Amino acid sequence: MGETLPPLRDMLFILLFIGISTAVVLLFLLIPAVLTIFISTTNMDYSLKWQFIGLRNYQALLTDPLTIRFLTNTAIFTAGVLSFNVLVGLFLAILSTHVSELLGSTLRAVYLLPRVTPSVVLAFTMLWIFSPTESGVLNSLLRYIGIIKNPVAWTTDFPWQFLFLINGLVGCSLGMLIFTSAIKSIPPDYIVAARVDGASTLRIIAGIIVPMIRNHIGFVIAYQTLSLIASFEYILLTLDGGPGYYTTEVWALAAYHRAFSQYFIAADYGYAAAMVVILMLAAAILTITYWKIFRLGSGITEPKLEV
Amino acid sequence: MSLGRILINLLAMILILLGLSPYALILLLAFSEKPTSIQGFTIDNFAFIATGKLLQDPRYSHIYPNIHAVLVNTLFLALGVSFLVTLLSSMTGYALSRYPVPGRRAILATVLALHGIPVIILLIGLYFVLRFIGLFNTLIGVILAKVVLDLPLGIWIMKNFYDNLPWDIEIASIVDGAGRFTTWLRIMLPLAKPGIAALAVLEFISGWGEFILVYTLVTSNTNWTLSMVIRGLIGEMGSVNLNLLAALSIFYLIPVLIFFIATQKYLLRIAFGGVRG
Amino acid sequence: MVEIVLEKLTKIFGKNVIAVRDLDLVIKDKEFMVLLGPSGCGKTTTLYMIAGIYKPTRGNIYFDSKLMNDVEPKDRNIGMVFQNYALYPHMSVFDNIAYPLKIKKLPKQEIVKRVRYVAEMLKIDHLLDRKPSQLSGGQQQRVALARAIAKHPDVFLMDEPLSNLDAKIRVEIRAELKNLQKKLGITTIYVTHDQAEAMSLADRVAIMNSGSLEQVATPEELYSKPASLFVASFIGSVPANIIRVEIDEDYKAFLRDREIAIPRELIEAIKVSGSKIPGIFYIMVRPEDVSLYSPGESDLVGEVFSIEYLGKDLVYHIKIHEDLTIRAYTSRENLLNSSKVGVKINWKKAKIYREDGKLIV
Repeated sequence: MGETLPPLRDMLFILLFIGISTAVVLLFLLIPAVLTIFISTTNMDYSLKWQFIGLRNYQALLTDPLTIRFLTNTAIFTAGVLSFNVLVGLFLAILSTHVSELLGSTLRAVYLLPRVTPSVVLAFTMLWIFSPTESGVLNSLLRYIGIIKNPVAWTTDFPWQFLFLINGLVGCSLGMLIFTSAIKSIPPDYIVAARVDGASTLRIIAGIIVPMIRNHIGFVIAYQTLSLIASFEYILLTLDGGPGYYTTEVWALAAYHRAFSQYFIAADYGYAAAMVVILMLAAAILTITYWKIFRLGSGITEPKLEV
Repeated sequence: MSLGRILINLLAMILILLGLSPYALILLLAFSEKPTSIQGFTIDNFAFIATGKLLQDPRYSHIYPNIHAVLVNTLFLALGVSFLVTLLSSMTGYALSRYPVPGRRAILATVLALHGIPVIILLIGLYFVLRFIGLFNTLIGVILAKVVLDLPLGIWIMKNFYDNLPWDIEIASIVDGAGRFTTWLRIMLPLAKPGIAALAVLEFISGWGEFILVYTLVTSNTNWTLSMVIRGLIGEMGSVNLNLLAALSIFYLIPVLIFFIATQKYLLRIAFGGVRG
Repeated sequence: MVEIVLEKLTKIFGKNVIAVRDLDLVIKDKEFMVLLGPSGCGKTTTLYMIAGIYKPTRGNIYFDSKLMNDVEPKDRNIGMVFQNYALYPHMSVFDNIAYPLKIKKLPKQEIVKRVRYVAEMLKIDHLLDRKPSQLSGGQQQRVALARAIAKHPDVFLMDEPLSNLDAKIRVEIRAELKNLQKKLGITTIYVTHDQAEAMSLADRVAIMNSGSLEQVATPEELYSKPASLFVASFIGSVPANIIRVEIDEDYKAFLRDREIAIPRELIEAIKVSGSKIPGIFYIMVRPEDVSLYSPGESDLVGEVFSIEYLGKDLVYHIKIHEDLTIRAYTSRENLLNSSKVGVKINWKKAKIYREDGKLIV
């Protein structure tokens, strides 16, 4: 209330309850972020010797022919996975809310599994199922049924679709949950009124349900776009940017390879940091935009006690 | 039941089976006698659980670290992340919810903004920071990095949980003579147990399956977690026995599945409530 | 056992929400003071400031002449009872009552002794092992009381403690509470919006409205000499009659263009008060001070509009004209709906108020 410095006890309390978290965040979040920005202006490599080189890394980025490829790949990846996430998430949400509660919640639980499965396990599983060799599950199955004669090189011939699937399986669960909750909170009166008017279920879904949850859909799109432009773990684990020369190498993966590649000597922290800084900028811009659009700052209530 | 009803119920059931199939397949592969396909039944692939040795052939068994040690590492990481995030979130969440902290709105906005920071943004910086403070190539370093990434969401979840606890009880405690700290410890914390339990489980799962941080920040295989072992084997997928990989995967999955099935309804309510803010 | 003095107490929330405005009040040692008023009048805010949970924006709070503004709640030695009981759900009844004593670090034997004693006094000694969720509302409130008493506080603060209870239990506990307070002799401040409760419990009542104090007096005085129209209409189970009259330059009173006779004492009082003439005034007369006659015997004639049966007595609602219905409280039973009656006012008990609501003495 605009008074003098809070008493000692107050300060100790805040120090303990907020200070520790703040210290952790400062040390392992803020400092690394700032450090990254700094390193992007140097030419630090594996030897950890560095010189300040200003914006030369960024200039190099602009002129590097691979840059366009990384950007395109990132765009393809983001668009593809996002579509999968939203469409499948929506589909699962609508389906699970139109069957019995038991069936519906089981369905949702099953499609939550990929999210809680360790990434290496999911990667292995999908690699085995879609293996281009004869022993791959899909290949053996399809050959057994007689649909194909020779093994299909799933991951080599359809790398993007493969990535969309594996990332989508993990990502669709967020939309699924959010949309489910949104659908469940639609006042049943709307649906009842529409039914009384003779609308078919499909009509109700398209005409009432989807429009009424469009804010949620927008939110999921916004939120996941932000995380997808920087996502690379499953790509690393499965195709590692391949097959071939940077076919599926997205921006984040390229940065990662530049810094932590298998060939230790090839490490170029400066350049990699510059790539990361670009990503940080994109993320910051998106975050601020979403903040304004979704007015996320509202709804924060004041505590009742003043002591 | 109308035809339409039957069809969508059928569809749901098919999708459930479809979604479970990868797991079922891995399970079958884990018990398979053949190295790359599902045939027969044996538990030999799980021998590593007892012996700790991944490859039975003594010529190669020394390449990979002892699985028992790796398991301990993985547990350490999972428990460490769970404990720290839960502890810090239950404190910071409380202060932000119930205490007149100066600059509260700004802090809350920051917490919201920070959650979901992509790992790649911090990896390079973390690499150097950990090297500098001597925590590179240690599990503690990984724990701290993971905690920082998960903390904003944890704080937000706990803060929302505390928001829904009644004020009267807290006021009663203060009037009864307890300071804010004692009130938090003796009254509010016990009341927040459901939220804390849910968060602890969520964070355990998060730490248990962690890959990229370990892959980047840990070099010697004495500090490997299970994710690293499996990753290593994936790299050699052409030549290694897939049924061994599958057995390892099932082993890796067990705690997650147990926790998940047991607390599924609960997790959905709490985690979901946290995400929506 | 303290005397509490509130001096120009003001609480403003945010930029301009004035919850309490310049409150001056003295609560005597051992007194049972009730803060009465409608929702939002500032009574709970005042209570919370006395407890130390809210800090006053302006003004002072004294306990026995000691300035308490910056003293924390935990150091004020207060026993507080809430509308929702606020029992600690994860603790047994015993631990709930013992909590403040444990905080004070009393020796274990002393704690056990006190808890047992208080539990017996409130007749809950057989419930000590239960958890709050296993108790009824009335029992929970007794536990809350026990917890407040056990710490031997200097002040009791009670925030509508009986509002959540069934009507019958409420009346029972009310009587016990009054008795208990007298026995313990602890200064008590009790907040409620229920005027009947206030009248039955209080040594004195402080009526508040929109953050300000309207009147502080004993229940009798509040009833018979309400200082404002607000108090007059708020107090009393059957609402007081408030009759609007116009008084012209000749000091003649008109009720909607019909002249009515007003006793000279009241006219004198108006002259002495220096109120503006001609002007609008309000006559307040309680339903029990209104008597009914046949239409010819009085100036005020109306039609019986509805009849309320209150057991032994009745309340007749008599419509004089569209804007005026007079309530008469009587045991007379022979009047029918729609019958015409004459109304006579017992002017000895009536009070007259200025247009702004203030009493003319």
